[in-house]
Amino acid sequence: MSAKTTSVSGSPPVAEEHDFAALTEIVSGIVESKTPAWWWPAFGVAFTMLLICGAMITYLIATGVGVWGLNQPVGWAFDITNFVFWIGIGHAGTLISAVLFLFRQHWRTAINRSAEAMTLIAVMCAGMFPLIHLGRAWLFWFLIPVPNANAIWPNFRSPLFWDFAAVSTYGTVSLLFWYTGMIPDLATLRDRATTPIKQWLFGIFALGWRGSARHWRHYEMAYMILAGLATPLVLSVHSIVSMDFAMANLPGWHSTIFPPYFVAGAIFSGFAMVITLLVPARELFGLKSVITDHHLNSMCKILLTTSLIVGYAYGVEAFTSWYSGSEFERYGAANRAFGFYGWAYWLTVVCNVFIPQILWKSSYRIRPWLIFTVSIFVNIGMWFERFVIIVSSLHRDFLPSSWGVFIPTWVDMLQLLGSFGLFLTMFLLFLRFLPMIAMSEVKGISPLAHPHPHAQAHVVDERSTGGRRGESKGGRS
Amino acid sequence: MHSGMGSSTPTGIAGKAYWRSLDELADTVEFREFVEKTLPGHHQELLRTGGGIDRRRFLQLMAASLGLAGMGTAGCRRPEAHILPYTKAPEEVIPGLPVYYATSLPRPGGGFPVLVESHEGRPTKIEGNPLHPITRGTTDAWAQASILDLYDPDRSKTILDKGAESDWDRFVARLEPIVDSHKNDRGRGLHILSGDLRSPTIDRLRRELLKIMPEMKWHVYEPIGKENVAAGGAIAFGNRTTPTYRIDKADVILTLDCDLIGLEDDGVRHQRGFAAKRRVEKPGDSMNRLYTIEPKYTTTGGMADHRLRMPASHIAAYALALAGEILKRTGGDAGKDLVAAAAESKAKVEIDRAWIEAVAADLLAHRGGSVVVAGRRQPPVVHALAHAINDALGAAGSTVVYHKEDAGESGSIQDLAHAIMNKSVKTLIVLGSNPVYDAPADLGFGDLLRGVEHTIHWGMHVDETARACAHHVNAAHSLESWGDVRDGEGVLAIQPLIDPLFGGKSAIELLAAVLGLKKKTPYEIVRETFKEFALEGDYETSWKRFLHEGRIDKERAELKNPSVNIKAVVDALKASPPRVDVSETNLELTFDRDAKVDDGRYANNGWMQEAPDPITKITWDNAATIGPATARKLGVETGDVIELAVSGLEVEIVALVLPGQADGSIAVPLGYGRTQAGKIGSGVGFNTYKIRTSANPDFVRGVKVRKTGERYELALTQDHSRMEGRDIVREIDFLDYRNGESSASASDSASEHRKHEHPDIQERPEFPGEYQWGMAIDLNTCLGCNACTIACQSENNVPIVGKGEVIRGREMHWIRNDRYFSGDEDDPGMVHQPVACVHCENAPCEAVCPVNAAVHSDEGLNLQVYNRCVGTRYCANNCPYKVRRFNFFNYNERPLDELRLGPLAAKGTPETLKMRMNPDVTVRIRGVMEKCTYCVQRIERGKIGVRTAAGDSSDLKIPDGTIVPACAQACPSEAIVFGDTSDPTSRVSRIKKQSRDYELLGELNTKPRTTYQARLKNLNPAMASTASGEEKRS
Repeated sequence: MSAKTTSVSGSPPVAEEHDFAALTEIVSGIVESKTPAWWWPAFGVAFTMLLICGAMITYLIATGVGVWGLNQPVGWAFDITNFVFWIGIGHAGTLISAVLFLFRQHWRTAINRSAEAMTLIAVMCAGMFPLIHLGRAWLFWFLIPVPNANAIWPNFRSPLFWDFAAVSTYGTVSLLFWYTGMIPDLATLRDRATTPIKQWLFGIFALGWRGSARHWRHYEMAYMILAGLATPLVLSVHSIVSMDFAMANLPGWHSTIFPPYFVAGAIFSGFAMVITLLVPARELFGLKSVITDHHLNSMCKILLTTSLIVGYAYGVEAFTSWYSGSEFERYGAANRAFGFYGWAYWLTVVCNVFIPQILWKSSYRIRPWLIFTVSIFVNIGMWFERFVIIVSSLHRDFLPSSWGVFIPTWVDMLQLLGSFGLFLTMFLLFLRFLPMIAMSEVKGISPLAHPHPHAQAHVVDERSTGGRRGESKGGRS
Repeated sequence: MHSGMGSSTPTGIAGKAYWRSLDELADTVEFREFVEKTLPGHHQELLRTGGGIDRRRFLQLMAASLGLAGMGTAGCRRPEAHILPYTKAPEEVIPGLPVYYATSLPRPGGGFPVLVESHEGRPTKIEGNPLHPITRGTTDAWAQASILDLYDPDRSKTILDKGAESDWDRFVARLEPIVDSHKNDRGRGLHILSGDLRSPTIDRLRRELLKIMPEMKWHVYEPIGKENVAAGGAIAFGNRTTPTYRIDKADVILTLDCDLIGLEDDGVRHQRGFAAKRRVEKPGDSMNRLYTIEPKYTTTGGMADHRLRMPASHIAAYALALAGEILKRTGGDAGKDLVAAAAESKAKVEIDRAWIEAVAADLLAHRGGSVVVAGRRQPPVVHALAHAINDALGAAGSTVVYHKEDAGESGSIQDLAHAIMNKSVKTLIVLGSNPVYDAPADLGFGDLLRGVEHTIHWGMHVDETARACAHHVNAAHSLESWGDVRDGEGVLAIQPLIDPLFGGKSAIELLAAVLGLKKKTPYEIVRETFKEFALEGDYETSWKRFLHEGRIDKERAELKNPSVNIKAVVDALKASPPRVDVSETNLELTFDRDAKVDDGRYANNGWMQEAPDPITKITWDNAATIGPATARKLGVETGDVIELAVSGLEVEIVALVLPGQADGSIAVPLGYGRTQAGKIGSGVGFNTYKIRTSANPDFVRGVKVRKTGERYELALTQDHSRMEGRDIVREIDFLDYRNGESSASASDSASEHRKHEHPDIQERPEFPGEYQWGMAIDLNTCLGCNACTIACQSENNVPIVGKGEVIRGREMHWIRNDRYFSGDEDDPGMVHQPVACVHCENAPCEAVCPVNAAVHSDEGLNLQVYNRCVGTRYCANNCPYKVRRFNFFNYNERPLDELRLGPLAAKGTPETLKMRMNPDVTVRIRGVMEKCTYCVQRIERGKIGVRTAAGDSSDLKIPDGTIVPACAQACPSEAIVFGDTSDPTSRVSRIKKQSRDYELLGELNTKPRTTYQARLKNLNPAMASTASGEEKRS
């Protein structure tokens, strides 16, 4: 972190009063101190939902996909909607980590760790659905190009195969990126650990980090490379997910606007989810000094921008279906807005296009609970957007004789709920056991790191936290 | 078939199940007897097993049972009597190769000729008998579904004596004293009730019985019978006469409330004749013209060039007006009375005069080639009027011939009811009929039976009547028994393909027991009867030929020089003058034969229950259909439960608003609401027999409708009936087409324009195969009758899914019939389109399958590799034709009412249903996508057959027409033609060359191998304005 910290808007990204030791104390303290009282009930609820998730999967795989409400013609509904929804959520993490890193947006440092964790967990949630939606989930490995005696390969022409490749690549890179960025902080925790088990565990995962200059050099390089690798993935993953639809010939799916439209939607929903998670987290853990109004403001601006892009996409979609002259496309567009699922379409439009417009007002952008509410609407809207794209296109396509409707079953509903159970459980575990804020990076951008213009040279040294315990604990400077 | 199969015995009856395991087998009384009979002297050794079976004994038993029971497949015991010869004759059974036997299925009013495919002793598939001069190897849906009846696990498995299990010997011992007491009394008090069996052997046994017991009474009752037809003949010709129509000779046809090519008796015969005259394949081909007047849409109405909706009650008035018009035009003294009667009649139907004048002119213009057909439901006077018109049209001898019916020596069910009320019935034998369920409601037949001392029921199920009778004899299916049955052309053989699965007895065996013919086997009895028809001289050859071909010609007594007694017709009209008083305040109710369960006899047949009704698309139910205008007046919507009250009786039934129904007319199908049909059929639908009386068995006026306020969910396979202006089913005016002015491909639709403006940017895929399979479906002859759907279900082991799953939209049919209405909601046109996988050359499904389960063969087949399929359903999503079917549950392995119980549900297919499966086709597991394969197993069998036949010669080319998919084979219209499209001389190639050939959704560039031939409409130019007519109302 060598660049200068500049304040984008009025408030600084990190409150000035914290010195490095205080920062370490705040962040590590969350992990080290006693479990807060609110955590257990929250975890209880989340874990119950996770158990429901497990029960639903067990029931589904033991019984058949028929326990969902799918039918002919609606072969996909909640399953793929949830998949795209979670993949979209997963987008913000990489965007914040990699793209903003490359663009030197330093305000990202306070939120990137949790956003990356959110990404990983969201990718887990997302990855679950293509797996369990299979009629014969136990044969999922047919999608993997395993050399075999029959010389049967996956169909490399199929967008689902691309999807499989893209999502697994994305998951892998995200994991590496998240983990690599966390190594210095894991070392800090190792050094501060009070029990042998913690020392041993953090010691293993800290990979012997000592904070030497050589370590830092390699770390920075690796982090930069991974950021570079992850950046195209931000665009590619959701582009490819969109191709599941765009490559099909179904009216409402067969559309060239889908890749950018989906990427924008993914960033939109991802940032909404980051807000949904961090606004309460910063209250509960008392992190307002680290995740500041500056961050909220920035995230709201991105939310607003992507909302406009998404709104534009909705408009273009309607226009192109009219302009195509195709009776099927036109009918599909009209049916989307005014058919059986018309309510879901308008819910999508209101949540994603109209409600975020209040963020034009700058004072609203730093009101945590207001933007939290907006983010909830966006989450709902983005889930319904995928639902509308998938189900309203499928339920009435070319031959009216085969039209039908999809009505979700209780298993559909609980599976959706259960995926939130997985998400929240993992996220709560992350909050509890891992440093939710990238200490080393935040230190790098804190005012203290730049006491005077010539201080840059020793900032790196100051930031390193490896080595002896007393040093970290006692704090420096 | 799959629902609730957990236990193999029907409710309330403990019976012997089919053998499930050798252990079970080893312990049965039957097996002991079997061994005793087969291995006299050794049976003690074999059976000395004591309390348990030791290993040695077990192995011995196992070896014995394997040897004796025929390769251990217990149900596949070879029939004991020698069946000769094979129709397609390998010298012996070659494992893996099916053999075919010609036999027939008895039906009310005549048998249906079939050829049954048998795999190692298991009949698996029913086809039509190709040697039959009329059906030529085609079948209707019921014939296809009959195979399932054979294997129905709910069949009665034992003889019952007052509800307790019994056996044949004990039954005969009980029967003998009863019969003896009747013999002493010349048969007084002995009554037999049967359906319209038409079996020469049963008739002979009946005569024998009458010889011994002259005062015995035989009653015939069919809920849907030909009584009106015979009575109409009696008016017109002086004796009971029924017409046989030669639709294949008719250029102009008028049907009066008659589903001529659909559900009317002899539907397949008429359909074939109709299609023969309808088919246009060459430029010069002519085409018939069909006028239909009916209250509710039928498949016949759907094919009509001009259709007029009219309440059934008004048809007589129309028939009179038309008869008056035609006889006026033909002149002559004979018809004067009728012309006068028509002129004087006060009942005038208010319709476009063209429907009388132009129709009369058209019929007369084709004298000798035109025919008027009145429906079975219409009163005798309408039939008499139709005879008079046909007489004037010179139809007799060309488009219609008349046959004398029996003189009516059988009693009716009303006679029987009166006899029971008069306490003169001591013994009643019910041969397969189910009067407790389907007799007219006014008779109260269930209560009447209690007044009969001895009641004996013979039937395949322990049904409503069996439960009301003291004795029940479980019947053998016709595929398990010897017999014979008449049809229009002669006598059909009934021969067993398998020993009775549940030890059932045939009606012949029962009657023989009554006669005291203990020693004679049914085989001998049937052979004896055959002497009546055997060709002179060589009896044996004649008999073998009879069994080989499954039939023998036998002239029926034809009415020579029929002349209609106009005076009698006029007198009949005076006795029952036509009425035109049906309106929205005086509602009419018509009782319909159901396209799925007939009169209720197929109620426990899962295939038929799940087959969508051709018109309403209802499965697993019946509904009262009401036209949109009448429904609006009544405030009734689809799904409302209504109460219909008439004749002092009422019934609750769900309503369905059906376009095209005559105003003021409500139609209810019969055959549902069974209480003792079995696990499939019990409690399905609404029993409309409850309001059907002896006085009004066909239609009745003055019905009151009351909304109950309840709602009821119907399982419809098609929710949307409009084409939304899309170019799906194409229709062309025949005259324009013949003059070359229009063709399907040159239609000016937007999609065609797009296709021409934007030529392919994609290269046509190359297929190097020797054959390039393709299909042509002629919409001009397809009625939408379901025969293809059921044939496919039978051939390809397609499971049924149950009502709940159909509501969810998960029916599995590989070929479906899309039905669309067009035009005005009250008086629309109706078209059908069968859609199966069209085998696209650029198949959208193949590109998207991630695991290469959907692949293309080099012969152009779009294949689905079940073993490879993981069930992403992407292929189905991307299929524009929506023909792919997904196994959402393990439909084959789990009972239909326990699908959602997962591993907790009972597991396993009932043994008998396993036996039904076609061994050439994989049974699919859950989670797998499936669809039409063009019957790839038949293609491969054809190739192997040609290779075998070729021997050393190199002539390996499969001749055109050798390979026929199940749908095409069943289709009575021959609307589906399959073959090699790379051979320009093949029939399919020639058909596809017509200008009316088009690709469904061709603008998507899918290049489907199945193409459709546009429907042609042969409109009468004189009544162009009434293409679909409407009765006018003041």
